[in-house]
Amino acid sequence: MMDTQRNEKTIISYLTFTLAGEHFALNVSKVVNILEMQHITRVPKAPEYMPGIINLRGEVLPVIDANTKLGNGSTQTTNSTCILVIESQQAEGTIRFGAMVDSVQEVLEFEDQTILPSPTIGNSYRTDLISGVVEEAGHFIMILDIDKFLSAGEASRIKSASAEQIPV
Amino acid sequence: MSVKESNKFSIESQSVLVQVQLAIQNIQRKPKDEDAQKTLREAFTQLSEIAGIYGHNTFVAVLNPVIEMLNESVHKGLTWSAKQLEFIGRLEGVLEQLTKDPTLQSDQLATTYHSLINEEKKWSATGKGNALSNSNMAGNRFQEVFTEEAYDLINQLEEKMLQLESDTQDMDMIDKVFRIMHTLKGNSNMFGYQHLGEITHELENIYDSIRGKKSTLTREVLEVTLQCIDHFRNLLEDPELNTPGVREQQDEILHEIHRLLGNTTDGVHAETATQRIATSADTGMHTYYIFFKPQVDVMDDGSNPLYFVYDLHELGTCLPLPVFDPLIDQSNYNPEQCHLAWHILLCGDCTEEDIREHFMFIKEESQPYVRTLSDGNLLQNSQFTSYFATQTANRLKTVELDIAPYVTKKEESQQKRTNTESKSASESISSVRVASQKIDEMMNLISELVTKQAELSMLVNAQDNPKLYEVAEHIENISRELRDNAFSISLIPIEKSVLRFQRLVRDVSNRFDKKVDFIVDGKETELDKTIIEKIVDPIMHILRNSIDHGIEIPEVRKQKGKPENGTIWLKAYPSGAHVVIEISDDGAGINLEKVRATARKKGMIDEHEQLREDELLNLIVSPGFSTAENVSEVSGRGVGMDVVNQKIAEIRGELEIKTEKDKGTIITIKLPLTISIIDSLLLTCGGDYFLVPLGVVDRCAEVKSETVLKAINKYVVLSGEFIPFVDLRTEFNMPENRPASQQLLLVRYKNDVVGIVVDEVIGNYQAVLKALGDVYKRQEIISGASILGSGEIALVLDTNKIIQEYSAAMSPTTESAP
Repeated sequence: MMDTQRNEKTIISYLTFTLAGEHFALNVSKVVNILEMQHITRVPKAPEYMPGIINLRGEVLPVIDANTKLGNGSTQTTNSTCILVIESQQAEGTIRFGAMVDSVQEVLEFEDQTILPSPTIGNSYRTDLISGVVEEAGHFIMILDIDKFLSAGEASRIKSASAEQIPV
Repeated sequence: MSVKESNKFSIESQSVLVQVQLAIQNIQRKPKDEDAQKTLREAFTQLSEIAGIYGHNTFVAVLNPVIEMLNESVHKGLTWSAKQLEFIGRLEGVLEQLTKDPTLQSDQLATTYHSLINEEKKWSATGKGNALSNSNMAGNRFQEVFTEEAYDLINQLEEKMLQLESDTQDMDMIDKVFRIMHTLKGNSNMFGYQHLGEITHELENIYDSIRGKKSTLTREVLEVTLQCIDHFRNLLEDPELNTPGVREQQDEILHEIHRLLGNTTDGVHAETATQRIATSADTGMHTYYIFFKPQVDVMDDGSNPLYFVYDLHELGTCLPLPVFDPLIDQSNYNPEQCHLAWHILLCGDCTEEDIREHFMFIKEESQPYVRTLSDGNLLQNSQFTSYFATQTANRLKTVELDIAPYVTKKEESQQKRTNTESKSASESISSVRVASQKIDEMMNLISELVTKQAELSMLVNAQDNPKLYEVAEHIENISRELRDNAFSISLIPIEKSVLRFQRLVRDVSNRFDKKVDFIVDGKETELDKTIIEKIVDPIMHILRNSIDHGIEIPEVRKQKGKPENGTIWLKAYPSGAHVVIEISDDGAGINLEKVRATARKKGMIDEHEQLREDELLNLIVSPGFSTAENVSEVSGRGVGMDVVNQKIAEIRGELEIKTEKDKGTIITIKLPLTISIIDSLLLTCGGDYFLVPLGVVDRCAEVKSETVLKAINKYVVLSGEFIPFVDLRTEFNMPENRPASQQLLLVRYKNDVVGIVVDEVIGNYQAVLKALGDVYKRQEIISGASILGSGEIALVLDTNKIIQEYSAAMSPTTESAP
């Protein structure tokens, strides 16, 4: 990650969570809040990975389905399904949105040397969204680049929107 | 500033002033001595700092350039020229007077003060580069406050003037106008805007005489005042009259005012002195005689009797006549003792109490003698003032004044006085400036409160506890009121800006000899304050264009068979999560041929490029386009419409132009409102809540779901009419578990009525609109969301977009086909 490259000894906290059985992590500073799964108001005609909006204490918060976004199909809601409230830096400024994940695990600290570059082959996920990989207790944790997560989404959204119009 | 505080200032500054004087003497003896220069610099800095603490910007402004100058000469080891030394000497004199009158109440002081400032500016402009601009930095904070306030005052003034235009006899309003002018004058003199001060001073004279019923508010006076108001705005931008245009205008206006003053006072001279007093008594003025003889040792505790006399100006017009104790031993004179006394005539709308209070910080033994002489302003009576002067000359005691020959009609005027007093007591407007961010925060908290409150009510209903129920109900009421209150704070009606538009239409049409009726509809439409602020200029420009290019001159209109008076409509109304402002005129319309020709000439389009009407109209808003044959001062500088377009785009608004030859032009501005309440209809469809702005809804009708499903080509027949409809369930890909009976919501779309099929109409709902956020900004059919009392979210439908998108009959392609 950008922040970690500056100082080799930096230790950064990450929030880990699961998506379709795989472990992922996010820089804790990007996560504002963790919400239990709640009713999502569907926004008609929105792309599939944007299921709708929720009411976050009087604020309207758009929610993204992280599973759909990463190509896992839509999230099956269970008791452990959570919504992470995320603040992401975009060109237009800070954007707040919610991300549906299968379950939230724990907060872990990684020293940045232990973070390996994201493998370019043999990975089932889009490598541009993953900034690095860490091995922890026998499994790999993929660190998501959440800023790209949304902007990349926006780009593909525009594509899908234009694709939708053609058959009409 | 309180008397106490100004007193403190005078004491503190005078002690520093002594140092300044010493330092000046020093430097006059040794003009190239670095130490002398340094001490002087320090003394000046100290004085400037003290004055700064007390907010006396006058000092800061005059001293900082000199300090700058000293800095430079210390730094470069320069010797002071004789001219500079002479200047410093004069500065000292002004400083001494300033400590007594830091707000430039005395006109004479103001003149010398400003000539000094001007001199300084010349220096810094020639030799010292930008020393002045640096030195002004310290004053900037005050300057900002001043200009902000001044703009406010000027706007108020304009508003009141336009109201006066419809009723020139409204004395109450004239009083208000006078008061605003007075404040403006005081402020501008204090902050060194002497030209602004000068004009307001003269204007005030005119209105004072109107107030005193010595003259009437004529059209001419109104006209000049409005001119002044515009000029004030220029002056705030260019206080030193650096632009020749502004300078000329200043002279012109002053000339005009003097002419008017000449008119008004001519009439007065003919009246007798007694009449004059009687009339001015109407305004609730009193004349007081004050004899102020401080004890000899009054200065021991640091009080400065002079200051009290100067300060009397705050209470009204003042005529102080000093007397010196003739018995004092001149050879053994002790400068720390006071041997002066004052006979003072004071005229103002204060009471004896006010005057006594004014002297409350002076010792018991030095308290003045105060007596009411008469109602009205005796100071205007020159016979009386000369009588007063002769009576008091060289008298160190109170004198008896026989005012009988100079006053009449006392009783009547007293009655009137009580009238005006009660009037002035009833009006006091106060407002508070709050950062809009704070309001946003408050709105969020309140939304949260309302949501939680609904939850609470639900829980309480399940409890069966009457007391709890009562409390909960009470809280519900309070939070509802709180919510309504908060909403009203964050939104303001466009009404306030409308006055400015009226003014503009009036002025511009006069200038072009065109007759224009300006009709405003929907003044009460509320918009977020920031949006209103940003939209005013673009609208002004559109209006200017409409009058300049659109409306024809009366003769041409007659030839075309139109009424002589052109009409401009300004309509504002909420539409979905937007507010639409529509400006239309019945003028000549935009000449599309001319647009095409100009665009070709300017190389914006190719010679053979054929453009559709809307494409041509789009050119108008491109940079550097103007079709006006004569570039007038009002419009046609070629920066017009593109800037308008850009400004509107900045606040995420949209601009649309429609025109028809000889019928007129319609310009529609569609503005978003991120925070706004709309009256809307709450609906459900497929288990989700939706809102439709009530404004677009025509009516509702029940419809069988069978009919909807079987309808051919999406038409239903309703009371003999074919109505095209949009089925929300189908379009939003909702499951087909629809109820047997659905609702057909008939909404207006352009000039038609189109149906929207939903499951159920719940009812009227006041919705707080929230934007869906940037993530959903492409979701055009949904213009926002609102959080319902239950905490659920309802989406606000943009019916126009839905119909455009989904109704085959109404799609834009069929409509705009050539």
